[in-house]
Amino acid sequence: MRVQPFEGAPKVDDSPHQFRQIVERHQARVYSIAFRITGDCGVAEEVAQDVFLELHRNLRRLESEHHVAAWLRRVACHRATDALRRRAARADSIAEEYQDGMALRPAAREFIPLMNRVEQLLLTLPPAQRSVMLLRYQEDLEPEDIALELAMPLATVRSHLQRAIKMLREKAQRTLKEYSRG
Amino acid sequence: MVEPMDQLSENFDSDLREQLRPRSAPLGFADRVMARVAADRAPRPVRFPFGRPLWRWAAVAALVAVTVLGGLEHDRQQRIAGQQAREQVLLALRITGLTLRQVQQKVDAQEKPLSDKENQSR
Amino acid sequence: MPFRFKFAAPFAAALAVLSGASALSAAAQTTQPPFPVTIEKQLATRASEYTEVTLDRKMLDFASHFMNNEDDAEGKRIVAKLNGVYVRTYEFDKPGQYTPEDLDAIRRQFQTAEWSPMVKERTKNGSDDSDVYMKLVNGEVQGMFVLNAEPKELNFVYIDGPIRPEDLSDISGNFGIPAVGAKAGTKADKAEQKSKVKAGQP
Repeated sequence: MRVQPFEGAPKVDDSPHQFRQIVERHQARVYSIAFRITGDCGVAEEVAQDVFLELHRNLRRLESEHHVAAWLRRVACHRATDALRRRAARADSIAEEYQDGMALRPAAREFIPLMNRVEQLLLTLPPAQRSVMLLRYQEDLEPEDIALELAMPLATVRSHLQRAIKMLREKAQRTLKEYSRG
Repeated sequence: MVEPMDQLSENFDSDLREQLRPRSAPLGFADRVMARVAADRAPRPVRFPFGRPLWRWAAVAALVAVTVLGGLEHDRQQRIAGQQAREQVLLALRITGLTLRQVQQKVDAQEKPLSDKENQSR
Repeated sequence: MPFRFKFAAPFAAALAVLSGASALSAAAQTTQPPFPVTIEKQLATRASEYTEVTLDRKMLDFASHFMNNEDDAEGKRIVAKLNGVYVRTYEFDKPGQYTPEDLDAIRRQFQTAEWSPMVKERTKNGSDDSDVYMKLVNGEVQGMFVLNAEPKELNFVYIDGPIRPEDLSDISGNFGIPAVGAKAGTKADKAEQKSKVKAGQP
C-alpha cells in the first residue's frame, strides 16, 4: 500500500474545514455500509455518525487518504455489525419490539429509502458475509485487501464470498423462476 | 424470458456491483456529524457516567487490568510451552534419524561382498 | 545417582498446569504408545541416561504452530500428517542391562498381520539386534517401528501415520544426522554424533 500525503493538507490537520471535506468525501461509503448491514436507515445514520466521530478522534494517527478510506470501511463494518447484534439482543420480547416499531414508525414512514433487490437479499446473509460482500462489490476490493482490512484470514474471506454468492444466486434464481411463472 | 445460466452468472456479478454502488447519505448528514464533532471538542466536566461512584470505576479498571495482564501472561506461557513442544518434536525426529542410520549401517555391513569378508578373515 | 532425563509425563503435566488450553490439557491425557510400560520402567531404572518423547496428534499440532523458522519447515512437513511419534532411548553403564526377552516384549506389539518386517537382525544375546517394521494398510505405509540394540544402548521409535520413503531419507539426512548410506564412523564419531543430537546441533 503506497502511502500518499493528504491533498494539500498537513498530515495532522483536523481543522473543522478539512474534516468536513473528509466527511463529504466518504459519507456515501460509510452510510451505505451501515445501511446495508443493519437494514435500518435510522440505525445506519446513528452508526455512520459514530464512525465519523471516532474518525475525528483518531485522525492524527492516519497518514493518507487511502488510510482514511480503509479505516472507515473497517470501522463501519464493525460498528454496523455491533449495532445489529445489539438490536437482536434487545428485541427479546414482543412488547419491546412493538415499542421499537412504534418509535421508529413516524421516522421510517418519512425517510425509509426503498431497498433494491440485492440489498434485500444481502440482509438474508450472516453479518460477516455481508461485510465481505460489501467490501467486494460496493468497495471493489480484492479478497487479499478485504482480509487485511477486516483482519480475517484470506481463506475465510474466500469462503464467505463463495457461500454468499451461492446463496444470493440461488435466491435470485428462485425469484426469477417465480417471475417467469407469473 | 429465462436467461441461460452462464449469462445469468455474468449478469449476476455486474448486477451486484450495479446495485451495490454507494447510496447517498441522508440530507444534512455532514451538518449533523459536524455538530457532534463540535460538541465533542467542547471541554466537558469530569464526571463518571450514570452517577456511579469512583470506587466502582476503579474496581472495573482493576478487573480490566487483571484480565488483560492475565491474558498476556497466558500468551507468554503458551509461547514457552509451544517452544518446548517444538523442541520435543525436533529431538524426536533427530533420534529417529539417528536410529535409522544405525540400522542402515548394520544392514550395509551385512551386505558387504563375501570376498571382502574372506580377505579379512585371512 | 544416575542422571535421568525423562520428558513425557512431567512435561505433559507441566504444560497442562501452565496453560490450561484444550490442546495442552489433552497432553495430560496423551495417547499411550503400544510399548509395554513395565519394560519401559525397568529399562529406565537400569539406564544411566534415558530419553522418552511421546507426541500424539494434539501435541504435534500444537508444536507445529511454533515451528515457523526456515529450519523447521522440513520437520513441520513430516509431522503434519502423523498421528503420533514415540521415541525411547536408553544408555547403560555396562552391557547386559536388557535381555532378548525384553526386546521380544517390545517387538510383540508390531508383529500383528498388518505389520511387515523390513529388517530383522538377530544376535545371540540380542545386544546387536535391529528391526524395522512397516504397517501397511491398503498398500500404503501407515506406521513404522524401528529398534536398534547395541551392547550399552537401546533405541526404539514408533511413528504412527503415513510416512513416505523420502521422509525417511529426510529424517535420516536432516536435523543434524547425515543421510542413510553415509560411511560408518568410528566409535568416537558415533559418540560425537549422539551428543550433537542431544544438544540439537547441526
